[in-house]
Amino acid sequence: MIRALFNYNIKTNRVLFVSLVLVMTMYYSIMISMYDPDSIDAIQAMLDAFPQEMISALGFTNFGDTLLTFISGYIYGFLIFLFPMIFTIVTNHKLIASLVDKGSMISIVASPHSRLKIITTQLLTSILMISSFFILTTILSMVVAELMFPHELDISMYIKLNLYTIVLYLAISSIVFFASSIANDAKTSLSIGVGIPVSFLVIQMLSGIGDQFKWLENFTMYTLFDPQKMIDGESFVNIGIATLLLISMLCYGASIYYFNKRNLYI
Amino acid sequence: MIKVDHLTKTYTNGNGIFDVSFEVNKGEVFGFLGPNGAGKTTTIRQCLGFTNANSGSCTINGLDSRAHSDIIHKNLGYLPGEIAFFDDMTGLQYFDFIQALHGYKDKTLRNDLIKRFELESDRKIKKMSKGMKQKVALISAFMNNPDVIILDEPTSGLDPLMQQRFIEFILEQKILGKTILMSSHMFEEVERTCERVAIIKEGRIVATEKIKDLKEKIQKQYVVTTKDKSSIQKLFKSNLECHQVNSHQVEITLHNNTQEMLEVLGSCQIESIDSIHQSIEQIFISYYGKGVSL
Repeated sequence: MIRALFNYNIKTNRVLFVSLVLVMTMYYSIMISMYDPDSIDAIQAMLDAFPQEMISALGFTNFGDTLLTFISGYIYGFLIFLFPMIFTIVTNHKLIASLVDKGSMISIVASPHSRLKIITTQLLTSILMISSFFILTTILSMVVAELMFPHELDISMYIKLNLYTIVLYLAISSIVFFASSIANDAKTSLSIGVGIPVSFLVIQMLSGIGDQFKWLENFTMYTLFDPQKMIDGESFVNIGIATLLLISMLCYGASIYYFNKRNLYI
Repeated sequence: MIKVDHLTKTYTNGNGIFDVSFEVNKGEVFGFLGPNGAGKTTTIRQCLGFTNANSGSCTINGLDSRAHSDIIHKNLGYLPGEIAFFDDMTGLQYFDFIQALHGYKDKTLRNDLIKRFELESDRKIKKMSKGMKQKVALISAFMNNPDVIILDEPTSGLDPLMQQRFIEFILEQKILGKTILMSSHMFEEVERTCERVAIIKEGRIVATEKIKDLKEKIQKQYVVTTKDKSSIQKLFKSNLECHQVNSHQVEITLHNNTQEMLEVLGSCQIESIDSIHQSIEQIFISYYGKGVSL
C-alpha cells in the first residue's frame, strides 16, 4: 500500500463519492417517507395502472407489507443499479485506465514502487471505496428509517441485505477494475467497463418483462442478487454470494496479474 | 552504469528498436541522438521498466530495469518525452506528491531549482505553457538528488535563455559525478554537454562516438553574401568548396580549412556570413560522406 497514492486516490474521488452518497440517501429518504403500511395497497393500485411489463422490467414487483420489503422492492430492484453503478465505473476507471490514458501513470511507475505495490494500492482503494459507499448509505438510510418509522425496520435483515449488495458490487467493481487495468486508453477501459455491467442490466430488465423472456436471466450476473430470496431465507442466496465472491476474486486477481506483466506505453 | 544490451522491442506495426546496444559509464553525460520516431523514447521506456523487451535487456547498476524498477527508481530521476501531469495540481502540489511517492523530504534542492528555472510553481499545471510544464518535469527529475538521470528531450519547449541555463546546470551535475542519459534531436544541445553520443536511426544504432571525434568529422557550412559579383568569382577561383545559392550568395563547405576561408574572404567584399544550422540528418550525411543516405 502506497500511502501517497492512496491519499491521491481519495482526493480525486471524494467529490463524486460524497455527492452520490447524498443522492442515494435522498432517494432512500423519499422512498421511506412514502411508506405507509395502510396504503401499500394504494401504491400497488397505482403501479397496476402502468403496463405490467414496464413495472417488472424495473424490478418493482413485490412491496410486501413491512418497511424492509418495501425498501427492498423499491430500491434494491432497480435503483441499486443506477447511482452505485455510476460511482463504481467512474472510480475504477480513474484508478488505472485514466492515469494510463493521460500519461500521469508515468510519474507513478517511475517512483520507487513495484507494479505489484501500485496495483495493490489501487485495488484496495477500489474495494474500500465501494464498501464504504454502501456502509455509509446503509447507516444513513437506517437513521432516516428510524427517525420516520421507529422500530419498523428489521435491522439485522437490512444489514444482511446490504452486505449482500456489497458482495454484488465487489463483483461488478472487479470487472470494471479489470477492464481499467488492461486498457491502453480510456476508450477500451470504458467500453468494457461500461459495456459488461450495463449489458447485464439490460438483459435483467428484459428477462423481467414476461415469462417468454425469463430464460434470459441465465445470462446476467445480477440474477445472483435476489433480495426477495434473502428475505424469504432461501439457500439460493448462499450460492449467489459464493459465485459473486468468486467472480470478484478472479477479476481482481487477473487485474493484478496482467498489470504486473503488461507493457505500459506511456 | 546504464547498459543497454542487444535490446529489441517491436510494435505490431513493425516499428520499434532492433538490437540496440550502448553503455553509459558512471559519471558520464551520454547523448542519445536521433530524428523523431527513430526509437529514442522506446529505448528509454525500456530503461525505465515500463515495457517488456522482445529480447535483450537494459540494466542499471547491474539490476534489470524491468524486474527491479522499484530499487532502481530510488536513485533515478526521469524526465518523460511527453509531459503528462496531474492537471489539477499546481506545480508545488505535484512536487509534493512526487516527493511523497519517493519518500524524499528535503526541499532545498527543489526550491533552488524553482528559483533557477524561474518557475511559477503555484500555478495550476493545466494553465501552464509547454515551456513551463517542461520546467516542472525538469525540476522533478532532479529534485530528489538522484545519481542516475534519464532525460527524454529535456529542452523541448524551453526558450533559448532557459536552454542555456539547462546546459549550465547539466555541466554542474557532471562535475558532481551524476550519470546522465539524455536524448535529443538537436546536435547543439548534446554537443555542449555530452562526452559521447549514440546515434539511432530507424530503430538501429548507427554510430556510438566521442563528441570530439564526431565534431572533427563534421563539415562546417557557411552562407556568404557578397556585395559584388567579382567576389563570387574570387571565391570560385579559390580552393574552397563552393556552391552558388543565388546571384549574391555562396555556400561554402569547410574541410578543416577555416584559415584558408578567412583569407579568401578577407580579399572579398562581404556583406554577411551565416553558419548553417545542421540537422542530425545533415550531420550524419557529412559524417559518413554524401554517398550514405540516412
